Amino acid sequence: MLSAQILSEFRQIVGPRGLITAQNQLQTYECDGLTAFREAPAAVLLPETTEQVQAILRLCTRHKVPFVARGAGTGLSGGALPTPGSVVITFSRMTRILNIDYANHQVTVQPGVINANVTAAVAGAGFFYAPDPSSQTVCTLGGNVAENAGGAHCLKYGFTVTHVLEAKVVLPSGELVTLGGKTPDAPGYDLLGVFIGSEGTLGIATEMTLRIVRKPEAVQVLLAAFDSIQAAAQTVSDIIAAGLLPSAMEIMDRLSIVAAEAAVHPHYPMCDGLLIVEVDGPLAEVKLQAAQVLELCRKNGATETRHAVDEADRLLIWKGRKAAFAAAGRLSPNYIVQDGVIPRTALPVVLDKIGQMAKAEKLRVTNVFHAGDGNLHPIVLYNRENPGEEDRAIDLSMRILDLCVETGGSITGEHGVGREKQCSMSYMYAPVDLETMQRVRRAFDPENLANPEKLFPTPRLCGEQSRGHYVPHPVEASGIAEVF
Amino acid sequence: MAELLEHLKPLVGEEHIAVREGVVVVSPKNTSEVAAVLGFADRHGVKVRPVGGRTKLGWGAACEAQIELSLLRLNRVVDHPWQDLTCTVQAGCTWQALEDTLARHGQFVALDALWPEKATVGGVCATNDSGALRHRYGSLRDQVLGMTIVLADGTIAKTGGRVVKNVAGYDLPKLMVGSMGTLAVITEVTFRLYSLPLHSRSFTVAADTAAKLAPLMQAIRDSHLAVQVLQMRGDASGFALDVEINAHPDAGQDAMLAEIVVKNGLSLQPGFWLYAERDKLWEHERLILKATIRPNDLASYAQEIVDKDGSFVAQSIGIVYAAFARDETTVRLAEEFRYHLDLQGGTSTVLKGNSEMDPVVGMSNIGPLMQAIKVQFDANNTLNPLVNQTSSQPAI
Ligand SMILES: Cc1cc2nc3c(=O)[nH]c(=O)nc-3n(C[C@H](O)[C@H](O)[C@H](O)COP(=O)(O)OP(=O)(O)OC[C@H]3O[C@@H](n4cnc5c(N)ncnc54)[C@H](O)[C@@H]3O)c2cc1C
Ligand SMILES: Cc1cc2nc3c(=O)[nH]c(=O)nc-3n(C[C@H](O)[C@H](O)[C@H](O)COP(=O)(O)OP(=O)(O)OC[C@H]3O[C@@H](n4cnc5c(N)ncnc54)[C@H](O)[C@@H]3O)c2cc1C
Repeated sequence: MLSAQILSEFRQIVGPRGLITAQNQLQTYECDGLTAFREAPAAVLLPETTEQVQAILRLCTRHKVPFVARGAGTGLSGGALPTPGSVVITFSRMTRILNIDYANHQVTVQPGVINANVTAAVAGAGFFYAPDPSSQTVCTLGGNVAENAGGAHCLKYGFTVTHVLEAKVVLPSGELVTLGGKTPDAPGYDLLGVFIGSEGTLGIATEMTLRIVRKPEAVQVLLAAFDSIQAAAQTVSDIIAAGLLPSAMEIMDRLSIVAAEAAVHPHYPMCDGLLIVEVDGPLAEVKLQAAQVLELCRKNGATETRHAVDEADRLLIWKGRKAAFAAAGRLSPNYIVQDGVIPRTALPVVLDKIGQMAKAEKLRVTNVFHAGDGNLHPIVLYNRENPGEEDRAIDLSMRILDLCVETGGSITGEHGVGREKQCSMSYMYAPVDLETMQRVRRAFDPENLANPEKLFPTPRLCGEQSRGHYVPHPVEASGIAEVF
Repeated sequence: MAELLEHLKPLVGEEHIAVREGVVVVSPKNTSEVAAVLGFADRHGVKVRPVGGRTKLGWGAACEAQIELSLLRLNRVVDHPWQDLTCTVQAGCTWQALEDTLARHGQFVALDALWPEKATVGGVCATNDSGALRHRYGSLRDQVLGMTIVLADGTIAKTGGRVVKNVAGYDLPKLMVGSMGTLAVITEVTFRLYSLPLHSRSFTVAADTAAKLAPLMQAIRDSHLAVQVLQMRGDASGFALDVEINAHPDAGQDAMLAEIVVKNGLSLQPGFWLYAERDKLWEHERLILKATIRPNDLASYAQEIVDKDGSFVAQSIGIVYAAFARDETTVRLAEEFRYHLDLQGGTSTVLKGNSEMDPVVGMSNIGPLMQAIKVQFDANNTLNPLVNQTSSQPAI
């Protein structure tokens, strides 16, 4: 509980409308997209300016109050979960696009700006903001920067980190620093590169300058049906080996095709391994590349191939892919979505292993994933009503992560570590590796007040590990965005 | 010195220690030997400078060390799983040797570093070098997936990973790239790779002023052309814009480019090997600056450099390498240039040539934070300490 004195100081900074303390309103901020973990914050602050954020953090540091930044709360790893006794600082009043500089291909925004609004603002001039998480119609750029968010088009365009040029960051001490710069190669250590993806544990970003990209002249989407996931995966490797760089490559297995078909009718060919490839660029080049991709699909035994015939068809194909997770609800009453990464060539072996592990547990796992990046999203299906099944499902999903690490991969490709995967960090990194990361932490946040108890394993939390079942985020449940 | 030698012998073997100009050159064979040497040095207050090809040790600021830790025996390409488009290589491997290995499978690290025959992977990473390929592929920081590093106290840490997508924990390789050997010694690096461009063609457009090339450069940046390199250069004899296209010839991009050029009242010539242009700046004893500016301010600063008797090679994304003669007048002119740049939010760094100048102009307000990082990684200021400086200020 915060003292009346501290609360009154907070109120002086943000005004009465900028401070929430009523219990029923605080509940809104109890959890993010990972609803299995909940903790009410001591108060919620809604600053309007960078100066207010500075004043808030100065106060937090003086009174040793932990703070948690929050964007839209769509995080899937519990990053914005309040820490006991913490305040949540949220950016719903800092949502302005401050500047658009077309000549230099740059946009400057406040942290509460919704991802899709950047593209909306610059589309008329023929530009777009490339990182496109499936939650992009709701998630904020502050959250994207903190999570180094990705999306289907990362394969060609890169993750959030490749698109942020500069960030104004308030350190826990309240000091304001500018990381990176509006010109490339800012002198000094690359503190921006470290800040991006740090999940709110190093400070708070209050202004970001982003790179915008010219819209490609042409886009083409292809579908290819295979008799096995292995054949689809081999095709992905062959496309890469041929020197082609599509803007997206996704694979779905039979179960997820069934689910997607039932949900949005994308008219996918029914098969065991569906490959979706998107190529973009200059028109003539796109035609040539699409032909090459088709050729490679046939070489690997594709039983059926087809193009999107027009833009509406292309969007429908993507809609089917993006619906796959929510549609898993049609396959099973409960499910867990995992987010692991493996080297691309390990796809056939790893998918085979996952199949065997699932069989041994008498559980079903369906696979739909960013094949080009080796980013798996296995969905473990189960029924909570069956005694012990939930525990086995959680256990299986965690062992899949271990398998990713064993092949030289990672425990997370885009959703972050947050609270969910703290304990798996120890599986991926040795204690010295983690301790080396902590050195950065201590330089930015010596008092350990910025989003504590996240990202790094702590004996307390890893000792009592247990994870609840999957509950769709309200955004997902209401059909605004899909887990992707 | 004799005592130092005695201590080092059991760590790396006598035959791998030499004395050069009063500095002990130690050549460990692997990461654990690097750790043993560093740990020893750190405990005994001995200062260490990691070196690769020794092509540019004075860059940024001169350092004074008793041990030169040569990485040249760590020179293997450890692993090249070419179908995964990644590669793991030891830090002392020369850039050229790395490129040769990767080229066998038609791949490369999309970066054109200076002097690849001598420069090592570790040195290139420590200096964050990059050239004309920046336009298409981004910086070195975009190419590094993971690293093995040895901290000053001998701690061996693995950072990042071997897969293109990984958001588990802090991205420490980013911090290491460009840290000039002040935070840790890099012993192994994992890169993401690209296929070697199959259809590159270069073109050049000449003009007598930079202003004539500016609208063309902007038009190409805003076009749908598959541009791989967009580079402006100039000296007393005039200015040129180099363009390299990488698209299948059937895609008709050459004609599209020609059309844009003609529309801007200029003419297109077939190009040549444009990657060597930057190297030429170093051919004479000159003052060399790296300046960064916003892309659409580039032309006016390019003109200013030439008006001040300098020459330059610039990447359209806003990185300029400028060379000035070393006499007093031109150094003063170079200072003026830096002052103008600073006013416009640009930065400049002295790469070579004048110890009186401020090494860096235009750095933002991150000094204390950098200092805090340096203290965390190298509390005793063991790695690359600055000459005449006992504080732990980072040497960049
Ligand atoms: C349906 C659905 C689909 C999704 N699809 C994808 C996807 O395709 N790709 C992907 O990468 N992710 C995806 N996600 C996950 C999530 O959308 C992303 O992680 C997103 O970046 C979170 O943004 P947010 O604004 O909701 O942040 P929040 O969840 O509010 O916060 C996330 C983290 O960012 C920190 N943070 C927020 N603002 C700031 C700030 N200004 N400064 C410092 N730290 C800050 C928080 O403390 C927290 O640690 C999806 C989520 C859902 C629910
Ligand atoms: C901005 C810039 C300016 C340059 N100017 C010149 C120039 O004037 N003349 C020239 O010949 N070349 C120059 N170069 C090129 C440079 O020498 C090469 O690109 C390459 O970086 C040097 O590699 P090296 O192996 O020779 O490193 P070295 O010259 O041996 O070392 C360079 C720096 O990197 C550190 N370092 C080396 N290896 C490691 C390691 N494994 N771990 C940690 N730190 C390490 C050293 O301590 C030193 O600070 C320049 C490069 C850049 C980026």
